[in-house]
Amino acid sequence: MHISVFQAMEFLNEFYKIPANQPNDTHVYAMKKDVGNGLWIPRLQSTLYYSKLWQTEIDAPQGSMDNAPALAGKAHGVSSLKACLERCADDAVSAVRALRTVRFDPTDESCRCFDDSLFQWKFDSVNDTDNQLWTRDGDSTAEWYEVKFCEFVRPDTVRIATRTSHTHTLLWAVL
Amino acid sequence: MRRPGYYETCGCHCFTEDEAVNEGAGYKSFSEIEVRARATQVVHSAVLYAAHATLQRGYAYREGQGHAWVTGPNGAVSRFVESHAAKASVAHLVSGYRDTGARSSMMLGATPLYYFRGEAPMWWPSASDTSWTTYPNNTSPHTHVGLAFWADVCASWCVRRFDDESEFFDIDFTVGYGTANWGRCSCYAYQDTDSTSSHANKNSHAAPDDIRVRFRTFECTFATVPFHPCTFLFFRPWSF
Repeated sequence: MHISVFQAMEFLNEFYKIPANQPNDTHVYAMKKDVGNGLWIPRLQSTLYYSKLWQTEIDAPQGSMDNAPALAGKAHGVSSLKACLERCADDAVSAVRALRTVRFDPTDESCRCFDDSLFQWKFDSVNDTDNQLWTRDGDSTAEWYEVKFCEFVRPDTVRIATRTSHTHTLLWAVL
Repeated sequence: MRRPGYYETCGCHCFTEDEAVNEGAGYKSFSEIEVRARATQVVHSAVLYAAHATLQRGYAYREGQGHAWVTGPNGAVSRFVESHAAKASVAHLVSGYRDTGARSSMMLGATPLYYFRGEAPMWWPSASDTSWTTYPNNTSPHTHVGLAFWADVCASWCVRRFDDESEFFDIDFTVGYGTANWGRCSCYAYQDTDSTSSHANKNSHAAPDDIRVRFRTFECTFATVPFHPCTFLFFRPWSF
């Protein structure tokens, strides 16, 4: 976790215990965003972190995708996710643009790269119908990924080693 | 904890009981007389304290599935969708506590949780259609599984809305906005709570240090005390 026990206690210092005669169904947590999978690309000496955006079946219609902020046009003949991610990273570096979202479809071996995060609310907002993107398509095999391209950065190898496994912790107060 | 008398320094010894190893769960925690019974050595300058658990944490680490709400054009999707991009590791800190408001500068944002509470939402079109009972929104937070689900929903919302800026969140099922909005998810960043710090009121991922944490300084050398790895002593900071 990002948060140490000291920071957690510091944070909780301004929380009060709800009296027993009042509704007290409240719960406080520390959290850390999952960094996702890291793909090391030796040629670029860089790491591409990627996480699946949605479960399969959630896809964007062709027309909507054409309006989305694409980094490069649709590529065909890309046979694997790894190849697609590497291609998008190449495009980002050569175009000096951001890379935020990738779509890979193993069925037609297509690969698309986007320089904006399609995870943003505006792409799924009832108040912004122009940008509404996501639909449910039971036949779709497309995989969407949110990505972060970290140039000249090696993958994070510390994350797993710092996980704690204990399931029960007590905070003690000296009275 | 006060230092005994006029001594400039003191030694600190900590003891614990482990009901899992010794007497069993029925004998957990020492009674006052049991604590006194263990003070078998007479030292004129020693003071004996009993430490009581005031906060009991749940799981220290859990990796959620990641659940993001997808609306879709004209509400065509309108469901929780598995989303690894919204996934977060969460650690339960405490239940039954509420922010006094002092952490408002850390609050990034809040959203209602659409918890049906076992009742059809007011907008449900047909009384004879009971399929709403199978919606994830009807998952009761009063079970371990249900609470884990809503914690995952809240953490996912914090990630989607605030990325890795969110370091804490709380879910509050004591607030109601209507028959179908019975709960609130609030996301918090971490900030240096020292109001005199140049970093005050600025969101930070920085690791704490002795100055920023500002815990009361003791002369005792706690580093030499063999704490159980899952046990922490909680001292009041200067700001109390």
